[in-house]
Amino acid sequence: MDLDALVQEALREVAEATDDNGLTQVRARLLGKSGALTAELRGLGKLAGDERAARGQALNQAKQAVEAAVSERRDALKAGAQAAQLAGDRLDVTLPARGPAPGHLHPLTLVEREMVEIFSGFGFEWVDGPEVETEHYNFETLNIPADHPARDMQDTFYLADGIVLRTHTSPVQIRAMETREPPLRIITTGRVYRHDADSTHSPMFHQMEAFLVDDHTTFADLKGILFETARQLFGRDVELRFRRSFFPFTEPSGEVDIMGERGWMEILGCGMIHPNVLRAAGHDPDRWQGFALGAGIDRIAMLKYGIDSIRALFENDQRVLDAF
Amino acid sequence: MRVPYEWLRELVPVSDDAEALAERLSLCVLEVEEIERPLDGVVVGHLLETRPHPNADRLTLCSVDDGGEEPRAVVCGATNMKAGDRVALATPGTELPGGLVIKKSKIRGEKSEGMLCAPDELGLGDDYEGILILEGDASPGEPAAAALGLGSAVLEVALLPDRGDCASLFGLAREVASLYDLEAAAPDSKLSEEGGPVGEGVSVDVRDAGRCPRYMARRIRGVKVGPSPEWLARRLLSVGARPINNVVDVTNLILHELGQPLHAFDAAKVPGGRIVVRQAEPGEPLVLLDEQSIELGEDDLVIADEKRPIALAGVMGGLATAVSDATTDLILEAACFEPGTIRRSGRRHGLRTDSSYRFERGVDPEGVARALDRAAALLASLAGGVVDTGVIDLQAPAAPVAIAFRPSRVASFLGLDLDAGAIRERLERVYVSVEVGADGEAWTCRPPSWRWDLRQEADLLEEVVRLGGYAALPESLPVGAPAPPAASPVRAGLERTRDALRAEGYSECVNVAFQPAADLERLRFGEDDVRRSEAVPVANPIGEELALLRSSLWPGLLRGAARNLRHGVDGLRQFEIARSFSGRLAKGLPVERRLLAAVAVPSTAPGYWRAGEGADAADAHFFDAKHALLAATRAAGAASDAVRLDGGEAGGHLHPGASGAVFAGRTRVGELGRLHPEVAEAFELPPETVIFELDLDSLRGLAARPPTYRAAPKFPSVQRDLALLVPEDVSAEGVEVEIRRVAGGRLEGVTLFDRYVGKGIPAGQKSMAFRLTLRAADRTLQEKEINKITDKVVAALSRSLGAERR
Repeated sequence: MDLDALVQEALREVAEATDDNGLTQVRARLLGKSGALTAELRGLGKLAGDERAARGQALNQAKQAVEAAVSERRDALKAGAQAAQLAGDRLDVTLPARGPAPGHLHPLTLVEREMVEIFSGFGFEWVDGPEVETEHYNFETLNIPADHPARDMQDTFYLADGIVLRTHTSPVQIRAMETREPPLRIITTGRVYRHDADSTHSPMFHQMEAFLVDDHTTFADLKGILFETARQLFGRDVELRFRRSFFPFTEPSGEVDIMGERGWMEILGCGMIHPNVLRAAGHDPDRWQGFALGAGIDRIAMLKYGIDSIRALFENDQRVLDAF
Repeated sequence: MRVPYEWLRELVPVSDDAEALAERLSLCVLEVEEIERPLDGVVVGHLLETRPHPNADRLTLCSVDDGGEEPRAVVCGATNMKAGDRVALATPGTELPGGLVIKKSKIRGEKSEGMLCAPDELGLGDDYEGILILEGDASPGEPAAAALGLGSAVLEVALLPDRGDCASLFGLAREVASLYDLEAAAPDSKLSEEGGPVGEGVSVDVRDAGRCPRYMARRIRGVKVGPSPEWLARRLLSVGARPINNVVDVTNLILHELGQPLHAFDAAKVPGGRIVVRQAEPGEPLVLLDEQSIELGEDDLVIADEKRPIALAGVMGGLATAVSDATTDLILEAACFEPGTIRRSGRRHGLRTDSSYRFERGVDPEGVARALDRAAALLASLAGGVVDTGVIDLQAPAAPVAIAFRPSRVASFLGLDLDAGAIRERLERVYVSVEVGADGEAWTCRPPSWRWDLRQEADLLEEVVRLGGYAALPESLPVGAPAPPAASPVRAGLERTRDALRAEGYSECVNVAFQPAADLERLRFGEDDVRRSEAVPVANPIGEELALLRSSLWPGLLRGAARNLRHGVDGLRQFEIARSFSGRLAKGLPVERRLLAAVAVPSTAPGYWRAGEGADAADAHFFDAKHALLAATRAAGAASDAVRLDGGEAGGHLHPGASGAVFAGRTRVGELGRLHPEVAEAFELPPETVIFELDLDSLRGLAARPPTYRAAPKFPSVQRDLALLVPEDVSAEGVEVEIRRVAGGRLEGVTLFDRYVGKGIPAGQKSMAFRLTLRAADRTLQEKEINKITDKVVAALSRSLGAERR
């Protein structure tokens, strides 16, 4: 038989096959149980030595050529079919995403987290305290006796005789110092209340307070912490000013201003913990020393995000919150 | 406090200009909040020439030298001026105190480049008859305010409670002297006593020396009460005080100048000139200068005559002995009162005066005589009085203040590198006397009499560091940090909860922590609901709307939601994490609980992915909220199977058929539901609005256990679907619980995958389809075993719940 013609005919048929079925038929005709090539291969045994080797090689080459062509054509057909299917199966990926769009955290939360993170880096531990306080913790232990003009600095909401809404987060300082032994590095954050409501004040606002007690930390260390904090919050090149101030619970006391669009803006108050405060919390001021600092989270949020009215922080206008 | 720059410079020769001085004061002692420029734009003009206006009889054309290159032409309606006068020229662009803005203009054809001002136009009294002619020969172009004694610049100094000694021009001048290492000079208090002995007309008995450590008095006869000279009136105006008459004005001048409050009694109205300083009798009446009647208490200190109080000590004088136009003889009081007494009196009677402000902060006991003498000398010269010879001066001996000071603390407490000499020099600059101990370390320091704030070492350390300015302090960081802090589980839970809700599409709100009582009624809380019965009232609320501490987060959140909807926001999901307060104060501090509350208003806008319409959409909205609620419970720290929603327990503020309480075991930890229609209406919210609340403090107690490893199953699971017809009132949870109870240990999971009511389902029933996942750990389950389990489940559901398999 003409092996070449047979192979050429088969290869032509393979090339013309349009589906898997056609390919199977072509292959069966040559290589199936009763296929032409199969029969030839079976007949090899009747041939003698040299002739058998030569014929065998030719037959095997023919078989491989057909097998390869079938396999290749099969892959091509499959790829074509898949391409055709994919071409028809199109999804508009620009349709809106499913599931709820994320909401927004309040700017005060964002600032509070940032501050807690900064102080966590300095090794400060976050603790919590009550918002309703006794005058004892809110004033007396903080070196603000009943008849001291310093009480005028903090217009107070009273609930009953001796019970107030805390006017600052400082009572947490005393509560922590009363129950722990130095060295201490503690931060607290939370709501505070002042009897004051006009366009620039809210009767409720937010403070963070950090304090440190050990036997060696100095006022210069406080300055380092203050300036580093301000730089982390407002950028390395922020212009800062540290000036003298007065708080009954610290001595010396100071305030930090940053240069804003409208001149110097106060961002925090601080000082070395007053010896009377250490004593009130049960620690010997000749053995322990340290600093305390407090900042208005609301004010910092306003400066940081350019919020022009403190009221905007408590109106919860979704159109405003959407920016955060 | 207003500090006119030129006035201050009369007392201390500081060379810095107002801005530089303000900066130095702000950094080292008291913040200067503002520098005001009084009469900004009004300058001294030198009138060169006047001639009649060609087109108007009553107008004059003036040529005024304002220091510029060319004289200015100004048309003026007054007639009291002449060439050579110094006048107050308001230049174009100036806004006068009355609001008038000066512009360049043409008046009857003649150009006018400013205005010559009358006193009333400058806010200096009500004289408008003619323009102001300035005395002296001030240079043209210089600020008129300086020439008028108002100060070219007025520093607005924010006083702080510890530095009462700075609450006067001289006090601040002394501080400036310390900062700049200069000398402050007290104003002249030289006095000539030409009258009879003071003891013949006045006697003083101080019966409470503890509260009145010093009382001085002088008598001045033959004064004529009348208006003050202009310089005095303007001095008072420059610090924001109103001139009244020469006697009152002199006492006010001394208060602002020296910080010593004085009081002048009409001697004729004090019988026998007898003055008693004593504790008030309870219930004693006193009519004050401002005609207010007060009832005194025994903690008040009064100045009295033999019978009745004539002044509330340190706070305000009485009406009966007040100086009037008819007064001729004065008893002038200068005293020193105990600060706490004055503060309590002022607070008790709701009075706050310039006098009480200074006494509360402590006045200088050594400055009393100077103030009294200066006042007496001024009264003699301005009101024509004769000062009696001698002075009454009752002074209790004061305990000397000595402070032990260790110079080594400058380094170890402040972190400042200064040698002992520099430290001592700084202390002495603030008038502290220093006595160095034998070893050089134990110093004894004595503060000056006016520094009530210097009591211990730390106070002196502040003086040392502030004098050099905090800018000179090095920046370092504390060393020797303790072990890194453990993360607070409270805080971690709160922050996770915030993040979880944010991921669910909720935005965070912050509301002010007060609520009106009416909101609790609008929320339909019953009268015995603790949120109403134990809501905590504020004793001094700002108003009705802020009368109670919030017992619920709903009022703020629902009001905010309604406000947003009014602003056109469509579809809203908001939450707040804050404390609620409840409890009876008689039992101690109220209970504070950290709550999470959330509100979800469905969107009405078409949305591409929105599932269902109408009732389906409202249901989908409800279950979206439930998803958020469960996400929040997990984030708050509760194990995922720790809480369940019980449909049987709704609050009155919730829709009774679409709400439930969240339980952890038997503890109620929250709620979820549609608003009750009445509440929705009251708060102007749509009825589909869903709200939920969780008590985060309770949830934290249900902390999830740490995860434990279980090997992946070796044998396959099988799924069996059960489609059931169930009576309408059986809950999905009820069916699931029963399936779990009956199916036994092979049951791995149950999922509801379909629920249907309507066509093809008998009335009063619903179709529910559950997929059961079954697995044995040690073999592949066989059909027979599977059927046995499902048959058992179906039989039990039929028996206990009346369900049947479809």
